[in-house]
Amino acid sequence: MLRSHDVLKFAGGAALSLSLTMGFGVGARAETTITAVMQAPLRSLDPVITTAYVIRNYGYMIYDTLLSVDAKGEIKPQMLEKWEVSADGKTYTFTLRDGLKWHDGKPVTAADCIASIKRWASQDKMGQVMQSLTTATEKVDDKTFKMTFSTATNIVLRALSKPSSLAAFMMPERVANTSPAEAITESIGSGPFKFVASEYKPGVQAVFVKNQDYVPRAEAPSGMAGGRVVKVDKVRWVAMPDAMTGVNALKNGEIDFIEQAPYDLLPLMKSDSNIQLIASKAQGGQPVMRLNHLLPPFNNKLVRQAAVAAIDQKAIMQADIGDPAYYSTCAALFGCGTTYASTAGADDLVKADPDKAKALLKEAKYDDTPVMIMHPTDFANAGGSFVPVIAQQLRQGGFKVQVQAMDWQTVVTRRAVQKPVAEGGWNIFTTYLSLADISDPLSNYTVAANGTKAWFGWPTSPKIEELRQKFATSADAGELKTIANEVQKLAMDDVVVVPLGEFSVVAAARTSLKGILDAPVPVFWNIEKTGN
Amino acid sequence: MLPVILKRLAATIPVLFVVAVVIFSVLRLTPGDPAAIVAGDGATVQQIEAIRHHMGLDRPIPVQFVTWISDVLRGDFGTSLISGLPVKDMIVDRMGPTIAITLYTVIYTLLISIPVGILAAWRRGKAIDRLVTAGSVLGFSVPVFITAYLLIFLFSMGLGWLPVQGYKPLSDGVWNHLRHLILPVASLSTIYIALMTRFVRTSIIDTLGEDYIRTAHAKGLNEREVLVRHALGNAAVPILTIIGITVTMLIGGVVVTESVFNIPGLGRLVVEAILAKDFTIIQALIVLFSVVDIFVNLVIDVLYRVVDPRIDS
Repeated sequence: MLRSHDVLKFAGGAALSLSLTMGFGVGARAETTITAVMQAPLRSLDPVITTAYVIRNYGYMIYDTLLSVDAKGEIKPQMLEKWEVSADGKTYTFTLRDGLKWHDGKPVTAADCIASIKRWASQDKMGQVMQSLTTATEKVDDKTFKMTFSTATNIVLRALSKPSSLAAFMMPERVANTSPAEAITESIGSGPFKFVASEYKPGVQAVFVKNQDYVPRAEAPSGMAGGRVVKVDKVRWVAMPDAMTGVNALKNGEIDFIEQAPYDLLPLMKSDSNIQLIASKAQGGQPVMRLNHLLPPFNNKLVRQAAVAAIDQKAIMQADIGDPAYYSTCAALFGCGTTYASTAGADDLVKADPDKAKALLKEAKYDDTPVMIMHPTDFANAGGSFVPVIAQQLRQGGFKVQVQAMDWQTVVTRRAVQKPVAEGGWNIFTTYLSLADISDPLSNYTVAANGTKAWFGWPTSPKIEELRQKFATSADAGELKTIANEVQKLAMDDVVVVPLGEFSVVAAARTSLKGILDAPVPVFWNIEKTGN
Repeated sequence: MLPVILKRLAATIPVLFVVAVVIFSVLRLTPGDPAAIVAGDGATVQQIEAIRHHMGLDRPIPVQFVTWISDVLRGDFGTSLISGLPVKDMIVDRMGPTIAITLYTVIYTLLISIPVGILAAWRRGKAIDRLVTAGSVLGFSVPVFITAYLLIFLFSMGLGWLPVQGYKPLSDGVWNHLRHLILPVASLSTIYIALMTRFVRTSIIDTLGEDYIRTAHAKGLNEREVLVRHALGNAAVPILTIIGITVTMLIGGVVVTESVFNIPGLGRLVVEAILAKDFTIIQALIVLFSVVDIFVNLVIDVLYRVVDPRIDS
């Protein structure tokens, strides 16, 4: 009788014979491929038109940035050889390093960078502030360009080096000249990987191969800075619509990496000696609640403050993440433990105080106008898991609450509607932002308070806008901290946005992957793959 | 036969037009804005407006419809609003896995359900019939994803014989292709086998009570000949009907199986397109599914006439 191990022995023998016949294992080096499941499937290819994180991650595969931030938060050159600042602090001269080439073999020029900065700055919030201060951008020679500002500022360094939201990726001039409203579909960068367009299947897989012409910096990798040395031949991103299947595939060795392992499935992987779990605060996020300042009852500051008093971060994060090892409460708008972390004005933010909420509602003469919360049932981290908790806390705080269940894409569409609730508007929505996106008053777009031009919710606070403008022009570290502290205080008082805590992202990888960097963005340089 | 086919083909034109009008209108009336999806989480209302304008979604709906329908009549299904790639290419790319999984499921279902259904009918009321009936109820009641997870747990995680997920085209080798589809087909066909077995059993039981079966027995034919030639032959029409329904259900209805086994087929494409409000893909797929539905019904109609010439007369 044929037993299972006989079958396996036969299959193993046959596979070995086949691999020997095909030449693997005898002299020839097998191609190393990392198969990774990213947090969302890649469906479009323009990292400047959208803030979707998977497209940002794609951007880091094939594009390069002029500057980057290291693990200590210091700005370092990436594509640049150097930069020089004029004595008056108004003019920056950037010089590209040698050996930079686009994937089609053409050299990277200053004109390419000028066009790329122009397109990026028209879309990115920090870029827009930078652009408003820019008086001239000129090419000096093929490797050098100059930017002049109306005032002494180092915003250009901070904007061009920021790792997330819209990172300033450099593209060939002809691509960068595409209208910002039109998504680019070409994938020619100068980054460490090349995109294999012929193998791209939107929503299914994206394939990248090592860019053999890429000249990495000599420095060791640190954060997003340093040498982007690629140590594998190919990286395949595959979509995995079912989380359980992803975990099974990782355990079975069919894939190598899951960018964001589901928290509830972590116990299944913890006991597997072939799997490493990597918790990353740098890639973590901050769930936020956004109130609509245009509509009653949240057009009344006291009602907004009552909402803050009603909520309890711990209960929300417990519903969102579950395992306390991967979340914490946090009253800092710009993230806890960051350069600009401050808890000013956030006394009521972490713990619920229903009595205070009720008192504030009474003072505000709240008339029981129901508040409508959009509940994205298909997107746990954006509120799917915790909106019911918020709703209950608000009820306990004296609010009349109406929860409307919908899919995330409906939330995304509806939150742009400025009309009353009965005409398709809303009162509250929730989402989360990567911690890399919220680290200062400029990059954190939720604190913008320029009315209908601000992010959804449309708060108005001229004082906050004034401080943000000051933050853009200041170069003094102490002053920047003071400004950030003041923004935090004002934003909390006016309830521009309500942070709900912080969480770490947990990646799961086969132990065969070594050298995974703890950067604000999941990157694939420096990773080696040995065996399976 | 030819006039029947031509008549049926002519009747598809108004049906497809109605489908096109309904799907186009429904998509515009449901909430969801592809421009907001393309723009991402950090976009402002102004940026979303600019993208919507570029996509042409701010034009009057009748104008958008006329543009779309005239392009479709020229064989141009447009480009995906999200990826910017031609819709036709994206659909062709996803057809292979769905055709494979549908074809294998139908073949496997027929291979199992017809003999088992005949056996149960032949042994009506006996232990084997009760076993088949109980098995059918179980097969029909267990959701496909439960069956799928159980099979993965046993054959992939436990025994390590088959992959957990993925799809390989035939060009990657016959065995490599088949081993990736064994579990999906086994999971998916459970329900269809249960359904078809019960149907075959009932149809055969009905025909076994007919006079011509008694005559066949009286002529001294053996049981096999009576069951296969006379009973099954005369039960073929209702069985063909259920085969037709199965095929049309499978084409667009394999999304759960495709998701659990990570197979990039049309079922997943339509769900992804709906979630992303990718109107051009949804419209093209619904039209395609309608065409397939009409075609399958046409084939079944023709087959009716082949197995039962009385229908023509």
